[in-house]
Amino acid sequence: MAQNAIKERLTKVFRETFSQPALEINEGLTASDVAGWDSLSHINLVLAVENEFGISLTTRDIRSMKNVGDLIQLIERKVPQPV
Amino acid sequence: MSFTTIIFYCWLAVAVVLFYLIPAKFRVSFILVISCVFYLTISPRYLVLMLVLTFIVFQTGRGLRQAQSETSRTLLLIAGIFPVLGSLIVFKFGGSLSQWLLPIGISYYSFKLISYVVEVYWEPSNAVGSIVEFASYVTFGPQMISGPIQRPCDYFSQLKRQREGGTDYARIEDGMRLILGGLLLKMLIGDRLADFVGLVDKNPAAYTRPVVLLSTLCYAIQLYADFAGYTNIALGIGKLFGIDGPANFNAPFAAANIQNFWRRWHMSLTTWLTDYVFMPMRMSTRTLGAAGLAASIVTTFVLVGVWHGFYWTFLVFGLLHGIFMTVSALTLHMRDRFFKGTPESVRRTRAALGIVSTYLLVTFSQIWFWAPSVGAAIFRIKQLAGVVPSGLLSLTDIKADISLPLFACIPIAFYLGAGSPGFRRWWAPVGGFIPNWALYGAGMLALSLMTTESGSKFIYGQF
Repeated sequence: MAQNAIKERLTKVFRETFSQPALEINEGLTASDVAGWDSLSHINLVLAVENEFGISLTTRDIRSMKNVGDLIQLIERKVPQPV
Repeated sequence: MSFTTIIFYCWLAVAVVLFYLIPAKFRVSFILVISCVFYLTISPRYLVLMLVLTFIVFQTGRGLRQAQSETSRTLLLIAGIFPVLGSLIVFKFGGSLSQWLLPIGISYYSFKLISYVVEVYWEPSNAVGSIVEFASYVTFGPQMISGPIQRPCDYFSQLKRQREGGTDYARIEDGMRLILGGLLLKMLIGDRLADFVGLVDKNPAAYTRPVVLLSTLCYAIQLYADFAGYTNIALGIGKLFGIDGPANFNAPFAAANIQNFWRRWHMSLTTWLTDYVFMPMRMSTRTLGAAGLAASIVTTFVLVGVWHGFYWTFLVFGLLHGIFMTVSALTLHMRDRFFKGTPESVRRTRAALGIVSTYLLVTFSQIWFWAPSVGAAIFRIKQLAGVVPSGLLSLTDIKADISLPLFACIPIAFYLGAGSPGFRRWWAPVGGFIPNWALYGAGMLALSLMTTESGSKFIYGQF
């Protein structure tokens, strides 16, 4: 899946998870940039990402992510490629 | 050798001068040597234990870097964590029988060791190749007695600076300012509050209910003054050796809910437990909804409690915070939604009430934290509720050198613990006219003239 397509769907996930309809995401975005993005809501975000993209994330995956750019790359790797 | 003694600072001055005189390539080795010498002065019989655990974990890290299969990596993870966690549990249990059986700093260096094993398990390239560098991280003297618990990557990334040499005068001045500020907070505020709290705690039944209430309300601010003071000293000493440590406090008394409080109080411990206990557990339970959330939070906070020692009082302390946090986490969205459309004045009132109620919840939990037994905690609660009769001694019956300083120490400690709101604004026009050396001199003078006889022990040194 193309990174732009992932970003578009991810924006929707972020807006719903953090209840911020105008939230814009970019590759450099981190938890400290988004109000309410703490360790509790982080798991809600993980669940929403898993549901949206039909993938499964591990604790190690989550620890390796430093920003939204890392999350996009992770999704790109995990989403099954069309045959 | 305590951070509040003259002899320590004489020793520190010699160590710092030598540190900057020796060739840069020996600086990390020097940090290791002086850290071990320092440990010998505070807990000599347990130095070997610390070094053996350090060696085991270093070798585990090397093994994890070379391991090819997931099975061998998992086995190495267990092999690295088991001896550290086992020693921590055994010695913590021993410490609950006798303080003599508790190696000083084991709670802090064990957590450093475990975080290293887990980080290398997650990312093998995080393993360090030099045992001297690794041992300097684990044994780092300034963080030995009461933390803060620094993460391995944060520490190792700063060693490049050590190898390059040079003298960073701004960092040294920053360090000395932190030490002075920490000493003032601990010795002028914390120790005076400790005199009052300790006096009432010795025989609470003898005092009137308002005195017992005041003493109970002082628990959190005394602990803050003592522990934040210590942390500032530790961070300052670290800076003298070119190492910046993690913050432990960020205006905890400004927190408007209990979740926010724990993001501001003893941060190096809570972020450690969040990363290595809460997050993995929450990931495993993420499909269980509210029950998974509650189980993860309560487990994390029970560990926060028993990390302080294997006593029922600490267990209740942890359980209480687990319950407070769970209720807060499950209802916060609902509360936020309710107040979203309300006028500004209502939201401000909510924030103010939130700050007060958070402080009261923390105070209630601190009754368990400080009580020598469950019975003593229950007696204190009954006394505050008026269920058991109170004594006759009022504040005026307490010696003036203990009671009078409270009128200054309580507001100052609370103001500092709330992040000194407005300080920059009112200090800016005044501060420009006062040179730094005069401020430092005034601080030193205050330390030499106004410290109490009783204080010197750090509360978190016993954990």
